[in-house]
Amino acid sequence: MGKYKKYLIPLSVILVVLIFFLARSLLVSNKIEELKDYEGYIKTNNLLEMSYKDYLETYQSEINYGNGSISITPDDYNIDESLRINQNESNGYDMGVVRLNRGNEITFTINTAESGMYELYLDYFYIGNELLPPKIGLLINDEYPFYESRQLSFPVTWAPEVTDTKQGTYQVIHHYQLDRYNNEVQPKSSIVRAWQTSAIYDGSYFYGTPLLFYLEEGENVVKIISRSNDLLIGRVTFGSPKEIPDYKNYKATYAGKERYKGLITIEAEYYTYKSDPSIKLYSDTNPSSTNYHSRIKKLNAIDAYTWNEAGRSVTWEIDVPKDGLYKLGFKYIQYQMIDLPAYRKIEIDGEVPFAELLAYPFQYSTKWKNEVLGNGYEDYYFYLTEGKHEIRLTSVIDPYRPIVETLKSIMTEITDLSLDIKKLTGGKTDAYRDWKITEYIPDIADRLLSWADELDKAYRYGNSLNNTDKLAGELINLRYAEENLRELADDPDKIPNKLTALSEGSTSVSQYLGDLTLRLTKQTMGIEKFYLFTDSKLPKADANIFKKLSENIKQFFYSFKNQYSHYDSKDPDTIEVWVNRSRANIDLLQKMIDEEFTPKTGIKVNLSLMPNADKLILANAAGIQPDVALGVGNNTPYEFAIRNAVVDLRQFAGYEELVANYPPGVLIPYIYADGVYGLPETIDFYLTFYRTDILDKLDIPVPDTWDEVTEILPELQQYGMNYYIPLGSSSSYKGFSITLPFYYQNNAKLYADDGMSTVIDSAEGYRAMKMMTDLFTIYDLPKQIPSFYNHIRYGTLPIGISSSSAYLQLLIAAPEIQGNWDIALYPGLASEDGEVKRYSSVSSSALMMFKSSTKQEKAFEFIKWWLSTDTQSRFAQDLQTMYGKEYMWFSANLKALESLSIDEEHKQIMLEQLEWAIETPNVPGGYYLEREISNAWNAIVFNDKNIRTAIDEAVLSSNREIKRKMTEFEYIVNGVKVKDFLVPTLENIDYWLKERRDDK
Amino acid sequence: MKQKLSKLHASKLTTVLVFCGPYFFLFFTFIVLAVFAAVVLSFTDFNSIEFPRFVGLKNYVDLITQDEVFMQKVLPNTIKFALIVGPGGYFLSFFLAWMLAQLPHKLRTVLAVILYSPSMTMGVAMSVVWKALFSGDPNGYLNHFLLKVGAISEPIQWLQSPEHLMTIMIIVTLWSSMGVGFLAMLSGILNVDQEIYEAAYIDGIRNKFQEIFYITIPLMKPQMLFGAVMAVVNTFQAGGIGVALSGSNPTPQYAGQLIVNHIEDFGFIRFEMGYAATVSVVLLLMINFISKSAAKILGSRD
Repeated sequence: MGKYKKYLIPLSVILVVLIFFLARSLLVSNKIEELKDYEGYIKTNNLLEMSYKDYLETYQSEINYGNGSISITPDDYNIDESLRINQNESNGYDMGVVRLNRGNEITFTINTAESGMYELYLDYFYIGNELLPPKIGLLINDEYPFYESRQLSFPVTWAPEVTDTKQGTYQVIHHYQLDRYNNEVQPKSSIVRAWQTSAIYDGSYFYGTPLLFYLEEGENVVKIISRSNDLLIGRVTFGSPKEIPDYKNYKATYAGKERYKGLITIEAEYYTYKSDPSIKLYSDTNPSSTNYHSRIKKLNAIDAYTWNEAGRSVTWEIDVPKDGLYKLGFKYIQYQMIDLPAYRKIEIDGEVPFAELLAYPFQYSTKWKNEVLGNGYEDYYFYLTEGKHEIRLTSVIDPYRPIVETLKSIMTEITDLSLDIKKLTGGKTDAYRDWKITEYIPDIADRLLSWADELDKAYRYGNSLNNTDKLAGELINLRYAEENLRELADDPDKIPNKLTALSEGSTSVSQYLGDLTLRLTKQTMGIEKFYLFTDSKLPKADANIFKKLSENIKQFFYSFKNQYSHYDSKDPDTIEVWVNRSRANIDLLQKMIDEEFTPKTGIKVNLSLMPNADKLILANAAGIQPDVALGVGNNTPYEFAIRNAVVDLRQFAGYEELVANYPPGVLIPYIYADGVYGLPETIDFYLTFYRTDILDKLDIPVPDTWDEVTEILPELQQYGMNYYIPLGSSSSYKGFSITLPFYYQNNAKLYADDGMSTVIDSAEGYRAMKMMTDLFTIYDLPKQIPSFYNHIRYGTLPIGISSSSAYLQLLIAAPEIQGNWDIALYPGLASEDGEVKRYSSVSSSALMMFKSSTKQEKAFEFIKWWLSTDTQSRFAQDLQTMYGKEYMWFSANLKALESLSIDEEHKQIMLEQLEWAIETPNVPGGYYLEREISNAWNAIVFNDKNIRTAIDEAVLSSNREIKRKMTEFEYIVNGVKVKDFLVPTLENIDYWLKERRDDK
Repeated sequence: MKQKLSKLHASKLTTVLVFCGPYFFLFFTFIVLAVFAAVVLSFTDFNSIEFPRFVGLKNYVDLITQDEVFMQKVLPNTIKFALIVGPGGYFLSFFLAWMLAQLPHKLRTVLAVILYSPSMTMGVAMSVVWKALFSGDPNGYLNHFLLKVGAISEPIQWLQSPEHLMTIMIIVTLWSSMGVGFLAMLSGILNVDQEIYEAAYIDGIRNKFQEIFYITIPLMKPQMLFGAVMAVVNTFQAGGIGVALSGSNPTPQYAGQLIVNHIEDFGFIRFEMGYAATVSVVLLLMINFISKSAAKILGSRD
């Protein structure tokens, strides 16, 4: 016994672990009762119309498949005559048409023989350039029949631009453009300009089938309001919905037909049309994908990540060799919805063959998989005649719609409830105070429990959609949210202190539901190829492990091959440009250079990826710096200029026209002494962001001046909310970009005119500092906010100032507040003449040219081309059509910015705000002033320091540092000033906007 | 006879060269030359772009008379940090090493690996563990816990507030100070011959405490010295902590500013390489001085 004693500890540990796992598997059951039918929980908002779901229910009995169709021609439209276009200008329509811009209306009367539900078809031709599909609103007899009819959309067709096509056996083969290393380049897409007829769908494509409208027997007045520009409308047709058979009937119809013998492979990358430019092709590196090459990139699949939103479709035109029955198999991959299927609507020649294809599930699979369309018992056979056919797959979320609608309703109700609670408690969560919430909101526990029950139903329904016994990991958020709700309902009086579990914060119910909504509406799926066949065995979807291993090793070695420096840099016609941007940007830029710049000017450009701008310092020390550097921070040109390493760009011809396109304030940081040493490429700006739903509910106006800001604070803070400004971010370093606007708006200068000292201790400077700190010490603006983006989503900070990165985030990653937020101008100070001065910072990314370059004239040719309005507009647009609308390029060139494809109203606000653009002048030792202002602010706000004292100390240290630096750069010799340092401001900026006309 | 001797001598020389050569070459290039370059640069004004300009002792004079940040913030911070983390980390290392030495072999190995790993995983652990723990957001681990318990009513900005940053830096550095010195001390303790303990017990030692002081420590003087030097070097080099935790150089209100940060500030942010070299030479002298003192105390006198 003694000799086994030493095994005691390890054995007991193992035993404990075993017992743990055993108990867990026995006690924690994974079984839930699945729910097959779920309608979803929709909050009826009695201010607006009923939802489409209720509308369908109401008129369910009126759906009649045999009522025929009625068309109205443009001649019968009651419309502003100036909108008519006659037939010869109608781009090929058979009669005169109308052209609609945003807000234009068409009214007409339609006479039906029988009342019933009708689909609506439009003949339309889109001549605009927006990346989003056009939208209309529809009223019947002067009211919106249902909520969704305010935003109805119809698809626009995009086709890829290919260099060449070749007729293959079963489809047209595309030749995609190659870059200089023979990689296939993502093709641009362009709108197919042709007259199209399409049914109307709801704007967010929650319903995969066209919407139905109820028309009474007799006369109905219909009004169409356009929400987009540049839309040509022809006929409008109301038609009975077509009844779609189920597979049993479909099969019976084609029972006797012959089955095709053989295997037809259709490559997905040679698609014909797509519905959205954001759908991209992808170069899959699995050896089983065709086309595949170890070394060069070949586009061979539809990219799963971009084929996600509901409504996005891809169409393939195929050549069917013989009449007959075919099975369809798709090689696909779907790894985003964990344990849940992604749905696709499958249409042949624009029609859904049978009902099961309205939403066909593609199950979760992290590897390529072959899916043969079928229902689990039998495979589907499709009858196809010989000749051309179009196969279209559209992303639809119909099966998930009940869950999504439930989530949205509950989130809205939670927002309302938390606002009600805040009204009662004043928002401050004092842990020692008890509330009798049940006296004011007696049914609060019931409300929470009813939501919890709905979530449980949604969870059980969601799990019935996957075809495994495993619980869907994707839906786990529903369980977390449900638990939170039940816990809160247990002790309702504690709810005011536990709002982080309800609506605010990353573990709140709102957040769980919001995240899930975002994920459920994105049905990511990729397709590499598909097959038409009968009995043939489909090739394996995934390469075997040995092939994959050998290919991985090959790819590893190829990655070392230097892909750049195609041209010899010693060639006098070649310039070296280093770019501190993403690969996507560089690829596109190289393409544009090779296609336009080099043929036009004969100057060749080598682009190199520069991951870190610090490399420039080291490169400089080693003497291998490039001719031009792009994408550097806006302080870098100054740092290099003051050390004699970059070139003054004012000396080149064409400089003046170039800078005329910029808001003058943006150039300030690039000025040193007499010259301008850098030019901005992209621009960032600050705006007010606010939640329209919350401010509307509380009846709070959007403030325009700082006075108005302080006026709305009492009301906001009463609800525990507040107004955010960047000074309140959690980083304790308050840089110039957030302190400067206060100085400028107060007419306070930073530096003395000779640049030798700082003057923030002037009366105006004092006022500026007082304003910056009073907002926090007296008005109690929030001081430690790590992420305004999160707080505007939760609703705790429904209004605040942030930059263009917040704009992108809210646009793309905040589904739960979609449509509920807007932007406004940066608040300013009213001056005596009534004008509101709303100066705000604009940081920018810059380019600069190195003095050591021996090809300066050629380098400036490149800079001139790159910054020109044409190139910048085209680059912005190509970036979006190639990579998706999230790739927004905010060019500093205002004319180019005007053509950026974003919401028109937002763009106008941005352009107006840019009229007030200012930036900090760079002065030797100025960085120290930035630090001291930040330290002073921190000391005043956090340590109760006296404002005057803090400013004086800051001035003392800053002046010392400025003197030190001025001595270093020889403006002061032996303690005596020998020359002034000219400080650029908005007032004297015009001097630097001029080209140097005399000799250098 | 003489020829044979010199031939032997020659082959010995070759052997010496072959074995010492690579190490000596690398040591010379990367340490000796680098230190020499730093010393030379410390007498110049070098803005990292133009050629350095000789200015004599001006940088040193500036350091002592003009650099208020160095005198008021950096030096006190570094000394405070060094005094706590250095000896603190050292004693902690020793204490833990001694405790581990009492355990059975396999368990000791496992625990030694666990205690040693923080010093290796510094960078990753930083972002994953510490920043999340001390996040200033109300949902950061520590804040959330304190808010829930009711100890605080508003989230504390741990990493941004001057009061707390230094304390947190000390905690994190202590946690990661079980490095090579710790391993050396562990091996030193284990190397002590068991018979000596038995003899000591016969001679009258009564408890473990006396055992440590009279037997263990004197017998592992070389390892203790090594541990001490490593602790000192580690402390002075742990400059990155403040910047990594707070996310900015300079740290808020210079609260976490150590000498190494100061050097980086001047070198990379202010482009004053000459002055940065000066500060680094001063740092070198300080470390040298402290190491020599440690050697005097702990070095074996023979």
